[in-house]
Amino acid sequence: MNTIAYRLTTPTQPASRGISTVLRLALGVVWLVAGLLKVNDPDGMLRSVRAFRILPEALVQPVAYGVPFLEIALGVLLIVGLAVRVTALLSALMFAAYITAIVSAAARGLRIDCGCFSSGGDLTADAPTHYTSELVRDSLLLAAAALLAWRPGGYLAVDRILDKPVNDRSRSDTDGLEF
Amino acid sequence: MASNSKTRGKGGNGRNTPTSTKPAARPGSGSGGGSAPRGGSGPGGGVRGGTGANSAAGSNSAAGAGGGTGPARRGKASAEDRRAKAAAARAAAAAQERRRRNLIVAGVVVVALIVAGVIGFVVQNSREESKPVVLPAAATGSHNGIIVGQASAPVTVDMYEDFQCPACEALETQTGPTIRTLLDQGKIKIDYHVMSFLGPESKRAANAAAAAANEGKFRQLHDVLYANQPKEHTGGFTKDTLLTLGAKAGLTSQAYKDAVDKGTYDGYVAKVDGDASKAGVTATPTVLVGGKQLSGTQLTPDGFRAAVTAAS
Repeated sequence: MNTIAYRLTTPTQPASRGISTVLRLALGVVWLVAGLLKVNDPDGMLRSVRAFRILPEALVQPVAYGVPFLEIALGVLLIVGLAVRVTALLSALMFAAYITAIVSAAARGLRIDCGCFSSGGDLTADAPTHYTSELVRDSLLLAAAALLAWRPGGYLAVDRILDKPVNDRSRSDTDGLEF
Repeated sequence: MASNSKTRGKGGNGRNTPTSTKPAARPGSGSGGGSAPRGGSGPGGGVRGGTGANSAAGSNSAAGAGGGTGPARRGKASAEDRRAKAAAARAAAAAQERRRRNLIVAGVVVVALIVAGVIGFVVQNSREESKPVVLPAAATGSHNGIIVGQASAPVTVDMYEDFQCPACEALETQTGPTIRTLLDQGKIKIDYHVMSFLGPESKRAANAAAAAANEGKFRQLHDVLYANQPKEHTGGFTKDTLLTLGAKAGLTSQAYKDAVDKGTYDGYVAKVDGDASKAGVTATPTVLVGGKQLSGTQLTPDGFRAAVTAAS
């Protein structure tokens, strides 16, 4: 019964919980770092978002200014472990969007830095693009986020505390009935 | 998912430990079904529990006709059954409560994330105090680019450069002399769009260049800055360096010093950079001769000369 596959995929197994915890904290740190690196360079973000030439000019500014804060918020939520499934799903969506954007930029032959971990955007003419490594990295992050959405129940999460009172109340019901 | 299986485990526990219960629990488990409405699915559970108990009792009495232990067994079985049903109803109610709670938490978190994004937008917007755009005297080109050369020159060259960009420095070293010759011969005029995306030093240098343009000495400072380009991302072009380099280019006026010091043209620099990026310039150096962008191989002295000849 307790095969390795069982231990890894059964949400109540310590192995599964442990992996979930590691994924959650790692993703949280990635978001936090990515957001903090960008938050102090609104100019760079603006250029970076614009350089992809996907969003209309009216949306460039809100996205460029809002996204770093969203990333920091996601990072904090993941690290404390609040609503892990929701934040993991959102993370996966965002990574999917980033991947789409990079693929589209590469397909259109744009020479830009993805601005993933800092302000990117324009590259000087002979600077190399790093589309492949950027895509590999974002795909790994997407996979991690998807795994976490599948098994959000790790250790050290606020979700676990929030989950408890429900059990306690049902127990107090039975206590009252001398069960 | 983890929580679900936990509930299931609890339900199983209730079913497996009937031996520890006292007979007094029997009426209790009935009222347990009654208390289920709290969870919402209660009424159904209660009714089902009732009929279940009835049929169990019926079959037990039929089986019990043979043996003397009948009544006792019957009572135990029906109590067990009812207890199991009640436990299931409670588990269902708890699961629903948990679902409701999870939904609320998820909703709150999503709203919080949206609020975080909006706050970010507002904060960054207010941080970007839009500085006044002061146009230097020579900024008469397209998108307020700085025009260098004779107005009568037949070919206009648009140059998008960043003073801190090494590739621009390479271009200036390699093709710069050719460009200067063509400028002096009156064959071209240059519309300089100074971009500034390589750190604050980029912006400081662009501001200084605008101040130089205001005194008609853009070209001189431009050449001096490229001849003394610091390494990228080392904060190289400080205000002091720009004053020293300005002096080398013949810029010693108080106006230049003040402009470098106060960032008089910061607004202009930001505007030019923004306009260039909106125009789709995604790399520096970007060179357009007569409106046509040159490829990398055309940036050599021969390539540039040929492009100018073709455009004139």
